[in-house]
Amino acid sequence: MMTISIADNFSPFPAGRYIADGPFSGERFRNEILIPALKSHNKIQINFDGAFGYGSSFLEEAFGGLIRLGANKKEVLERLIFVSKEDPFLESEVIGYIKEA
Amino acid sequence: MCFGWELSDSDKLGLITNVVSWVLIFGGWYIVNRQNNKRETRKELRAAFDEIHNNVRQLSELGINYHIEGHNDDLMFDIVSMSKRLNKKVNRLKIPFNKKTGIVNFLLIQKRKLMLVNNFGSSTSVVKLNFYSNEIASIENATENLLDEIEKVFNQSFSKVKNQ
Repeated sequence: MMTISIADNFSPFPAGRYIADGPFSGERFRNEILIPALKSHNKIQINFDGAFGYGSSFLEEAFGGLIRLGANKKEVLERLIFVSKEDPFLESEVIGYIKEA
Repeated sequence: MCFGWELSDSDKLGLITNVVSWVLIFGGWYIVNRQNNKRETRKELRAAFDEIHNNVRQLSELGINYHIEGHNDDLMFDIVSMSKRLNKKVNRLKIPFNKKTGIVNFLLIQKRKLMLVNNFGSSTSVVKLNFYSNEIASIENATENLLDEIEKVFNQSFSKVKNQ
């Protein structure tokens, strides 16, 4: 299983939806970190701790965007494991974005 | 078995009186202490809920300013970090988990209204909204519902403390 810490492996200041919105957007995280990880590993643990906070646009584009690009909802939910000790309610928020995408 | 001595009636009465006195002293202390603890718990909870209440209002004002004034990086980070702090504060509340999730569901609704999925965090695509728009009204509405839920959970938590 691969672990991705958004704060360590991407940025402690993730923000914005599209690449045009800033250097650490949800679109960039999805394209440069998440999709390559999904191609090379079966299970991926996403650790949200350590970042400044998450806007819904970042989360929606990063995870909901996967579904819009053609990924299977059920498979994504099975393969991604969300972890946040700092904000234990973040997991249900992200799962909501995936289900609603 | 005989100990070779027996208490007289007056000694027995004295002993009983002593025991009853100590039972009353400890019983009274226990009841007063329990009431004080409940009162302190209620005060602590009230203070925590009041702080959350104020943060919800502040967050709502920041969100409305953001949507009226247009994208601003500082304001965006303030909203995102305050939202995270609020979740942490709710998580720290000394109330049952199912009650926390009640508040969190309303927090999530408010967060979604504040950070309108297609109108937040973008320097290029955020559209300035009119104060009297439906979106701003829905932020106000979500905030009021959240505050209402917070008060409801506080009252339920206090009833539980009261009935223990």
